[in-house]
Amino acid sequence: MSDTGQKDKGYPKTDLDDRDFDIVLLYGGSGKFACITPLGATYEVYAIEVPKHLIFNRRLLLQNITLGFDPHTDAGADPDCPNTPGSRVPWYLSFSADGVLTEDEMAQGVEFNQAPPFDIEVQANSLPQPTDAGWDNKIYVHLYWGNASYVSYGLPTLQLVKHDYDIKI
Amino acid sequence: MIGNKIQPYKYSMKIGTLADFELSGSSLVGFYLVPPKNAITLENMIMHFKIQFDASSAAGDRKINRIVVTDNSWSVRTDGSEFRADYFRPLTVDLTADGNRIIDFKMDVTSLINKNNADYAEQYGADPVDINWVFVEMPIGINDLATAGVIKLWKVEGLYTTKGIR
Repeated sequence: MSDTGQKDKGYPKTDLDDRDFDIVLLYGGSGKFACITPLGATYEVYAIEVPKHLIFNRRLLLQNITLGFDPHTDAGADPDCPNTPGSRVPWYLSFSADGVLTEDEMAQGVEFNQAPPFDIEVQANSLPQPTDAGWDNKIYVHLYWGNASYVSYGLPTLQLVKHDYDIKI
Repeated sequence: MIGNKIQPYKYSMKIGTLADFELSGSSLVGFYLVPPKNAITLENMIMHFKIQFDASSAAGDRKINRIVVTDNSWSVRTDGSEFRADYFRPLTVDLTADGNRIIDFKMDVTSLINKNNADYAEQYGADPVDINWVFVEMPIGINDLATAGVIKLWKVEGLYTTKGIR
């Protein structure tokens, strides 16, 4: 005779039973919630205005805040959204005096590939200075990720925490 | 001489009944009938569904488009395209509500089920198991309603084979 493995035991029954069913509500249509969307560009440049009589940028402290910029590949659709985050991808941070990156400025850039929040401390040698060509009292921040289809919950901006500088007296 | 005797499995009937469930912000409602823990296959499934749409719903949205049996979550996007699970069996029914905004129907969904999808999971999402999940699909406009209506009754009956020889 075959053995079914069934073990019927005569324990008394309790009134408690397993649940009989489960109801699940799904949502037709996309974008019902805060869906992640493709960045739509390969880089972002924005300017930090500095005091008019500044003569030397010593240090810049930036923070990629919680739920800040965190690019991922697009893993495609899931039941709720047309885009979902895949794997984390690196992005690069550089600075320029005129909003246009030179090869030297690009070479001084730093690569990030980690989850926010984290602080970024930038020393004088990586910052544009008033002596640079094209200086117009702004520090241009360049964020480069290189693929317009990447997705990120946070916008490609960094919070300015502290700026140390020398000024003409 | 080798004797050959058919040994039928034990059958087990399971019924789940939902009553007076307020439907809110969802056009795809799924009913997962939890199988017996020792289930082998699901042989038959019958359901009875009765909904009264809310007076605030658009007349054109008081409708049931399809009955779907699937093994995972899915969606219909606003552009009409679908995200489907691996096992996905839709049946277009196009039922419209009567003057009292009620749709009341009973149907045998046995032809849509995957008989082997009888794994036990206490609830959806608990484990990635093979289940038969019955969906009622209504128009997308139902998604935007805080009160879409009341499911007066949703009864699903499943007949399972279970381990052990009768």
